[in-house]
Amino acid sequence: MFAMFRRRKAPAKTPAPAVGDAPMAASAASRGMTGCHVCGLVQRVTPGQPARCPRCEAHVHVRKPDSLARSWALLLAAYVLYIPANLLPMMVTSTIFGVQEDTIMSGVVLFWTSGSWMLATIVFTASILVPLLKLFAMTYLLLTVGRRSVAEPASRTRLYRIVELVGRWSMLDVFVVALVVALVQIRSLATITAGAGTTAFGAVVVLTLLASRCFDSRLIWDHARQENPHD
Amino acid sequence: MPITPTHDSAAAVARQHDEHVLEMPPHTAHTLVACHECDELQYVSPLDRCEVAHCIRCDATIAEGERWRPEPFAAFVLTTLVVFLIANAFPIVSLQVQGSETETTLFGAVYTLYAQHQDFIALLVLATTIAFPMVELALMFGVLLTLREFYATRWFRLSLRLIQAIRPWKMIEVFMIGVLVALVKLWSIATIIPGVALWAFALLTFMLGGVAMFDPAHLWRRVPLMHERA
Repeated sequence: MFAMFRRRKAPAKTPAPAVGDAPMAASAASRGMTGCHVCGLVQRVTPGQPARCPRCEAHVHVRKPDSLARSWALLLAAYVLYIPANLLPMMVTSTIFGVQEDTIMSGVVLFWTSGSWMLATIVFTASILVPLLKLFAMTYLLLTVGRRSVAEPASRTRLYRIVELVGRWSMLDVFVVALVVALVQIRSLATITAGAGTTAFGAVVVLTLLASRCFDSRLIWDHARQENPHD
Repeated sequence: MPITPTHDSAAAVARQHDEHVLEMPPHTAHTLVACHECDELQYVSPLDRCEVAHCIRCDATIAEGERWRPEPFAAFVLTTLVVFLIANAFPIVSLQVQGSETETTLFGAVYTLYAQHQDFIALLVLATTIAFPMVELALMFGVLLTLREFYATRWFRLSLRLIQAIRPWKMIEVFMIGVLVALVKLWSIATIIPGVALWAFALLTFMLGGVAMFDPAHLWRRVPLMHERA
């Protein structure tokens, strides 16, 4: 039963066979082929001609279309919205004593000063570290691919994988606000409403997720392969 | 006409198109895979159910063994769907302060945001925690239920594509941690009574982890190619 959860490397995986003496070490694109992005079927494609996958009928592209331009556009929009996301209030608490506005950072500070260090760390990681990491990592990846860098393709791919993995967790604060806002509606004592910061923050999360989905990590390897074709 | 599972259809296409470039694979059951992260072309041997194949160049996971057989998986998906409905039908928590009590369901939270004119956030929460998980589970159950006869239909292909497109956008596990953070936030100001849905969401988080272990690639493998369809 537990075997199901154990990840094991497959013992027999074979590089495609050698052509002549050199080991194959080739991208599908260099062979005029591509793997369908929906169903994975490897198929021959003619560059510049629109094609459909013979299995799932998705439009097939050798590389994601306009990958760099789209990623840059989404990323820059995310940078712009990151400012109001951090400056505008996430939650507005109205009590008989007055109105209090909480930004993301003040929420973290509140947890920290009230002794919930664990939660302060979780919220700080999800709402501040992860969005920043995503913005900076995507900028780095887009810059290096843009100037056709051949350095460290494996580490850059790993960085991209991390961005894809942790990206969704920055939604945490949005869900916290949604629940707190729904629960604290006691008219005689206090009501909490969602602030304008939530929209900006939610937009940052969605935009960075889209930016990383538009980015094609195969571009990292295209330039690296041209440099050392047989490594 | 019985449709035979085209287990190695990818390799078959490659052979058919590219006989001069690529030699025959080491074994006919081997699949030709282009790594989705670095585009490296390579053959993958048939995998045992707990095996995972990694790309020889960039180490990405390029193929997984079939951890779920379709029939038990259909039953599991149906169970998950029931837990999902329970999680949405009952209040998550109720809050008691000085005799007054408020409680909310997940949909109630979405509605409150909508009522406060936070349309975008309301839509975002609705999509990532209610609409997408429900659509994915329902479609997955439909796909598994109609498996054998419908491999070659358009409906089957569209459903599978939709399932794959939705997958990265459902965030129940993030919501679950969000609930816990919210509860600790409110702990000091009110009495908190966990509702049925809180436990259902906790269970659902783990069950969706199990659902995520199903790799749609194993269903795609059974779909016949265009020229093979009648």
